[in-house]
Amino acid sequence: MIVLVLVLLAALAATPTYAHGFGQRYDLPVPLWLYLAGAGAAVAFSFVVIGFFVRGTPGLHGYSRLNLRRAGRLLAHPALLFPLQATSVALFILIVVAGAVGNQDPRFNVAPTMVWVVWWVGMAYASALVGDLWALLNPWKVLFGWAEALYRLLGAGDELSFRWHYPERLGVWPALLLFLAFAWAELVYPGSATPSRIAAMAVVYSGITWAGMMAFGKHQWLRHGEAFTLVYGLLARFAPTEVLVRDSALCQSCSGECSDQRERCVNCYECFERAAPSARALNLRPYAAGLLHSPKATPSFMALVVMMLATITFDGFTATPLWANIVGTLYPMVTFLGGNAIAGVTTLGLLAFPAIFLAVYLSFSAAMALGSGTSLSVATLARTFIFSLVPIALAYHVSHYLSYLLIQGQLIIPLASDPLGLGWDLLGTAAYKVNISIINARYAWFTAVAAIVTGHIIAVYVAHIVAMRTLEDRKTALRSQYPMLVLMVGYTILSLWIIAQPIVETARKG
Amino acid sequence: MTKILNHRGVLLLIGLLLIGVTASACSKTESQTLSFDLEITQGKLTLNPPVIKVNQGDRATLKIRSDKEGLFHLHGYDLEVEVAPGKVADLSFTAKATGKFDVELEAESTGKEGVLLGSLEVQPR
Repeated sequence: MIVLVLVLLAALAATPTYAHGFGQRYDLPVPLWLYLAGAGAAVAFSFVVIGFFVRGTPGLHGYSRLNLRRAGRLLAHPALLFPLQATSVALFILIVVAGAVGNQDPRFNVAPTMVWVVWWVGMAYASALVGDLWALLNPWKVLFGWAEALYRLLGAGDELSFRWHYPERLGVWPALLLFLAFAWAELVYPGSATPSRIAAMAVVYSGITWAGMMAFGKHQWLRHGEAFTLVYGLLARFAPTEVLVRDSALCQSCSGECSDQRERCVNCYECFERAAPSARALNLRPYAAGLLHSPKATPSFMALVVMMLATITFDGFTATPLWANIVGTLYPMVTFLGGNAIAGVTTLGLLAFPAIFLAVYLSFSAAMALGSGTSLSVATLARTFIFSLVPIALAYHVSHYLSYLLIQGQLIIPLASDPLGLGWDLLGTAAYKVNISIINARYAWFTAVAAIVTGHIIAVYVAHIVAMRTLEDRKTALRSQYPMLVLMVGYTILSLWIIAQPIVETARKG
Repeated sequence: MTKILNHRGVLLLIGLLLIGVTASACSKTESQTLSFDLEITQGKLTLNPPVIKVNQGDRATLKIRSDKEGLFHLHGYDLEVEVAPGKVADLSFTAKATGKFDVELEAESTGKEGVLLGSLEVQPR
């Protein structure tokens, strides 16, 4: 097998490929003892959490919110938000321009680093740990909003859209397909780091997004078709902030179902945009509270969550020796694809992983239904509990990308002075050399394992609360959690296993 | 105000995390000066497995022989030295940064694709 892998690596020496869209990784695998300690801790803490529930139901009714009052109104004020949005649009335009006309070496062009490191990884971190910043900064949303404001100003109409009815049956399938295409670009497409390709993909995606907005209305498209709004929005359910609008008349006329039963609308950005600054509020809340209170997902949304979790895991899996073996075994069967054979196999993996994930998840949902004796259907359970898996995926994402963000992220310093790679030095930082010793491997290991174990504990907790709230009584709820616990322990150990694997790098250009 | 985890649980978690993080600051053995004789034949390192292992802080000297002309490139540290048949190229550095760094042989004449030879692994202390 080793011979096969080395032969494969030699074959790949001819084709430069990038995993994670772009950039080098200098990780050392987590040592075995730490992996086992992490797995053991995950299991042990799971029992601790169950212990809390055997006697009581902590956190069942609502969650603590801290209204930031004046500070919140200030932070949510259009006068502050507008410059931030303008900056986001400026960066978007810079990325497209740099990609189109700048230096095509990925190391000297701002587009690959901005897109794959600062945006894709950085924004995911920010969405989960701070709040739904994408809902604020989305350049496609902002630009369309400006066009719509101008349209209104000119008296041409209320909405810049044909206002076609969006068929609810379509759910979020458009977003799911677009996200799958994006995941393919990130994990399979060899040109994902090429600046001109990035610019082209950005332009195509802009076209699709704006066409969708014109067809169905800005917020309708954002809710159903804009992949990143949904993905970052999902991660933001973990975040400790939320926005609130105190204007029931406004919320009632909203096109989404944004009314929180007890109070006003929470995290409805359509209402937020239309609300007067004095009606806007910003709350602090505990981490994962948003996941605790997510209503049952629609089938298409559940599929999107599964797709997201699976692609995050697949990303790490593609760097393992086991995957290299799988590719080596399947390679002879796809030689007819020529130079695209590896891409072909990886595409198959990218499609197989979510399918396997879904099958496993549904099996465990069935086990939950059978084991608990509930009268709720397997589908209902599956759609309700899917959000409790998000902390595990998030924790893996954080640990997998931490050194990448800290090392590759430093490239933004010289790139800020020379974004197009034409020899400029706008800020005097063009000669900055990346400091690879910024994060010590031991520190990265402990942080990674701690993050994954913490994510696991939070996931077990969330699932227990959701069970208490959804199932008929306490006994049924607790019984339903045994299969779920096995699933979560399995998922967590898979995540730990991946970070403990020696990393198999494919050959790339200097 | 309801809490996600009770006080004891949170304190236990934080305690464990702090222990873990401070453990990461501990160092044990002294730095060493090490020398490695590397030979490149037909675009492959004769070292098996092709991994050079050192500890953080060690001073490493690579003595490289090659049957073909080229540029021996250590990624991450971004160090390179010309190698050619009949001569021994020297590359010395202090392994300050931990991690796994690819080692590549680039052919100067064609200028583009390099061959992945193996890697340098710098273990933390």
